[in-house]
Amino acid sequence: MRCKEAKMLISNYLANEVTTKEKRQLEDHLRGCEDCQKFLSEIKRVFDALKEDTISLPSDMGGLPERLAYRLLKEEARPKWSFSSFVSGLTLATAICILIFFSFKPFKSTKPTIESIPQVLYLEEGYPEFGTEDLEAALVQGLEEYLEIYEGGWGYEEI
Amino acid sequence: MDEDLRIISRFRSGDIEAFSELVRKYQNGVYSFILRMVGSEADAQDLTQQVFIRAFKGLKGFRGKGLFRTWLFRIATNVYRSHSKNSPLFSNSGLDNVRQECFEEKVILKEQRQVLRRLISQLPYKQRLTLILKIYHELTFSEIAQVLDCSIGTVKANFHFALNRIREEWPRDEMQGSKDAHK
Repeated sequence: MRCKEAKMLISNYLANEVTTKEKRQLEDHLRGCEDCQKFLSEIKRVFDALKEDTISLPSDMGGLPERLAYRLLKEEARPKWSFSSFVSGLTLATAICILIFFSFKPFKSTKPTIESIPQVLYLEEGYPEFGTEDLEAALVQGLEEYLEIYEGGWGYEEI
Repeated sequence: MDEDLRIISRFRSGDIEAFSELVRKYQNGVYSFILRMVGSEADAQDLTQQVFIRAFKGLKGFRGKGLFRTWLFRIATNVYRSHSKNSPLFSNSGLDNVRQECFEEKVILKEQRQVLRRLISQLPYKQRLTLILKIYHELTFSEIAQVLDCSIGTVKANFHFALNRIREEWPRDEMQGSKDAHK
């Protein structure tokens, strides 16, 4: 075994990750190589120092399962917005829009309005005694006849 | 059957308490692993929670091909990685500062430990992970390979380079002092 191979193997040897054959070969090499012995000694010192470096854990770690359970329950209670629920929601909304679109009839009044007869009527001062509904009813019944009845209150001219 | 698999089987049958058992069993391991990686107790606690939340959500899909512990450390590694990408604290200088602040209150640090921790924090990501998982969590190289999704050969090399790098960077007087102390 060469020194380069031995040095590569030393870390694994310390970590107990060598085969029996590798271990025997390494130990044979180390017996006759001072340089590799020194390398082993230095690496072992690092290895042992790392092992000794412990950390203290916080005292409130015991509450983690409870905190987690609370958080997970809260998440479960929240409505879930997955891709599939988004797609089904979108489909439903589209269906409703299509339904509204085809059931909607644009407003067409059967009754004539003031706006619909601008070329016929010219109002001077509005409606003194009756409202729009009356006027519309009059237009349906016959404009000429109706205006003759209320001649005094109205003025009109044909354009 | 493995004890963890029995607990997982109970969880799959609807026993939520079984999951709490897993948390109690592995919380210290996950927390200390993340703490060694991030150096901040507050971050470590938050990330430990995230690890278990991910584990909870993914446990139904856990097939039991590998060990639960390995699977959990893999989640922890992913959580750490996504956190370190988003956190500006994880530049090298920031990590050193956080690490010192965090541990100062908890233990009286020897100079040697400070040096070691600084050297560990300066290791490349995979070497650092390999070292921590091997030394402090005693995972086998095969398990570490599963966690890191790489070959056992890569793990062996990473472990060797990590130890050797610390050996090289460790101040000579420190090394000499340790030698004297051991005599």
